[in-house]
Amino acid sequence: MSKHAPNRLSNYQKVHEKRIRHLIDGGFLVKDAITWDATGDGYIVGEGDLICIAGIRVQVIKRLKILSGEGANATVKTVSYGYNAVLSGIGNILRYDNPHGPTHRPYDHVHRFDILGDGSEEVIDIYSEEQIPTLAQVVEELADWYYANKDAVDALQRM
Amino acid sequence: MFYASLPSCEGLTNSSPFGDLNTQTEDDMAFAVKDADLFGMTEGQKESILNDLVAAAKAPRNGQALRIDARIRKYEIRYEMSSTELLRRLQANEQHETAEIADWLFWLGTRDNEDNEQARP
Repeated sequence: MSKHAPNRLSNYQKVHEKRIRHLIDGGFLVKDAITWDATGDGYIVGEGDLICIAGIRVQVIKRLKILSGEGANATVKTVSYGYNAVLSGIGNILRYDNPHGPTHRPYDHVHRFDILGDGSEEVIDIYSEEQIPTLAQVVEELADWYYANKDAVDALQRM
Repeated sequence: MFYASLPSCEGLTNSSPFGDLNTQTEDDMAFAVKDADLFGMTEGQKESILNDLVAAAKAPRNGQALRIDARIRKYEIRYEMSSTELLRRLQANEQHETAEIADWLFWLGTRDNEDNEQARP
């Protein structure tokens, strides 16, 4: 089954918690400040920051649609999301976004910023469902990026 | 607004990617729960909270609509253009898509209950 398939809310929460705890135990993620709001009409919005070490944070916003069912057993699916990773005081590192419509960015995509270089931006469309990362995978990608560039990142923040 | 998980929710506010644009007040949302609070609950408490979250989410949008509209309006004021103009400029490649613009689009989609069929994470 796809990692992005509809899921029971209780299971979604369980998996989310397990992955967040794993990231915190790993030492890169420091704090989860996401809040889930019932926005009515069958939707739940999750919003807030995942605060990591070295001034890195992921600004999370995502909307779940309730497809069927009731209560914790309701089946939900992500229908909109944005994961914006920022190096505090410096700029954006990357941002994963859902499609923005039929003409502007019609596919899931990632913005990558050369934050350690000239700041230039590259936008890459994502066509395959399995290539779309989960939120935990985005944090893992950031951890890999940080540890591979630790000296440069730390030097940038000392400037 | 009712926040789940009571003792640890003192002083709770939503952490917004764009905090100064967060116009949320305590009266305009039906139900909210923080990850940090959920993680500290027993399985039974979690189930109860998720039951309440879904019940609130399935209700017709009332005060939450005002909150969503207010967030969109803040962007329209900040950028001195309507959301309609934003969409036109994006389509015409006259507007760069920044993190704030993406957030603006998110709330437009939320207001209109648009589902991105390709959005899967």
